[in-house]
Amino acid sequence: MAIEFNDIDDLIGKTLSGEASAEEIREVETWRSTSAENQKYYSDLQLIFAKASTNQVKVDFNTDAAWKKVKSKLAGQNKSKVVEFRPTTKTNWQPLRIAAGIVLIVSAGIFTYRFLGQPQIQTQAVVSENKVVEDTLPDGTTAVLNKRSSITYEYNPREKTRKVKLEGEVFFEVKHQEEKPFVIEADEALVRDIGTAFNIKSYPDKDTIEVVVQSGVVQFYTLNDPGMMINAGETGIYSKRAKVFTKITKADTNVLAYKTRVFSFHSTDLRSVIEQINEVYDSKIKLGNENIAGCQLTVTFRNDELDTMIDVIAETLALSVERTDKNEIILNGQGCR
Amino acid sequence: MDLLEQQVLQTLKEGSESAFEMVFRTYYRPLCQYAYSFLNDRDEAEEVVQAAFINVWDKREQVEIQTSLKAYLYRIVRNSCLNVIKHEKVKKQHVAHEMIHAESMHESVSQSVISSELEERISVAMKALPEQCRIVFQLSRFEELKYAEIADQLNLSVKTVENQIGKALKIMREQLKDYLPLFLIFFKDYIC
Repeated sequence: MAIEFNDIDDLIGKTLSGEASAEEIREVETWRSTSAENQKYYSDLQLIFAKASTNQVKVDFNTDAAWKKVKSKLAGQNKSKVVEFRPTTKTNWQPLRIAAGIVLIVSAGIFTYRFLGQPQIQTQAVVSENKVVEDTLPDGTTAVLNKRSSITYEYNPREKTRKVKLEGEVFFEVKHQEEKPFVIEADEALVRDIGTAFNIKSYPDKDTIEVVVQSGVVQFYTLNDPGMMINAGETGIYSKRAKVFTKITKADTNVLAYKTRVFSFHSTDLRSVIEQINEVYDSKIKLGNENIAGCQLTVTFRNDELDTMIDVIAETLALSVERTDKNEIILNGQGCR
Repeated sequence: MDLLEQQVLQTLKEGSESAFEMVFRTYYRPLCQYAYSFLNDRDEAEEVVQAAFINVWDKREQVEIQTSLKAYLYRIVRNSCLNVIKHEKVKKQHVAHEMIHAESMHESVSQSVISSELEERISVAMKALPEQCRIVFQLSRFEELKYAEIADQLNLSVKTVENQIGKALKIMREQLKDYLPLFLIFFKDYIC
């Protein structure tokens, strides 16, 4: 049987793939309406096209099994980079025995508690919308919320726990109290403070949750994974999709710029320099052309005026600066290299 | 490349297995699906992707990534797939031919099972398409890539991609002639 390749097949293919122009769609419509045979032909292709993609669903790949296989083949990994804390496998029954004894006492305790009245649970909520907000929690901990962030603080005197639910990005300086653990819940990830100043970034629309520790140590974990300890100067990253923790030893110092207004750029390309400044200063600096996007900048700004920073950038990279009546600042230049 | 990805990459270069695991777990499945579009074989697809990851790990110190890690991984998987195809072309075409031959021996079945039966036949017919035609068609259907993206990845013109998709549909219709519904009325699109 001879197969002829007519343009109509290409056009139908384009129509079904959503690649056809309005004119091509009309052409296919017209062709279809000329005969029942054409109509049938079109719907055959439509059916094949639709059913073809359902085949793929049957192919499934097992990431866990594959990871085990690949992991065993990795040569020369440097395990010392990442300190992982796994619970010891040896079961220690001693605390359980003690716990069993305590259960009775506690049950009795709760019983009396009920009749003596509920404990006073302290709560406090802080929400930032379009600006950075700083607040002090009832326990003396300070929290700086970046834009679009919120926290709910709860202290339960019975359990002696300080719990914070977080969405967005928040910098904490925790007043460490050994007997009252401070635990932050960011989506499914948990951060337990061990005397510290640290930043947590957990926006619902992003896959990753990031913890940058400025001083002290935190434990970064989930209910199913003991995670890792993050020390001062380090960044911990958790991927919600992959459910894996990783650690970066050289932290990005500009993470805290929303709070400190300190930027430190090292061979950073102009595009991201501008993005970071715009984010913190609510400015509208724009690139006049794409040639300058890749120009690299090494400079440190410490809580400087926006105009000062613009002048320094323009001077360093030989750019012209134009300010529009819409508050935009447009940079132009020849490009680098 | 975004800053976080740059940092993960940097950590990976320094030999962090957890950074590597994160990348692996994020991209393994989509890369396998992608490789499957080329190879039509689950085991081969997995082999290619695993080899690509091991390669990234082994060469982590030398690797210079200009665009994004994702684009880089897709590129090496694509190149490996095309290599596999080049080496196994003759063998695979023979197998596909055998399969469609065996399939066509069956008698057509009652209409109640027509849709799953048809899906099976479509799958067989798709595997039997000429190599380039099949890859273009599968990248379009499985990966939902735009014509321009397919053209770019396979180093073809957009016009060629149009032709190949049209050709794929036409050949498959010929192959499936006996299994397609006889009347239009079977389609809900035309009932209303």
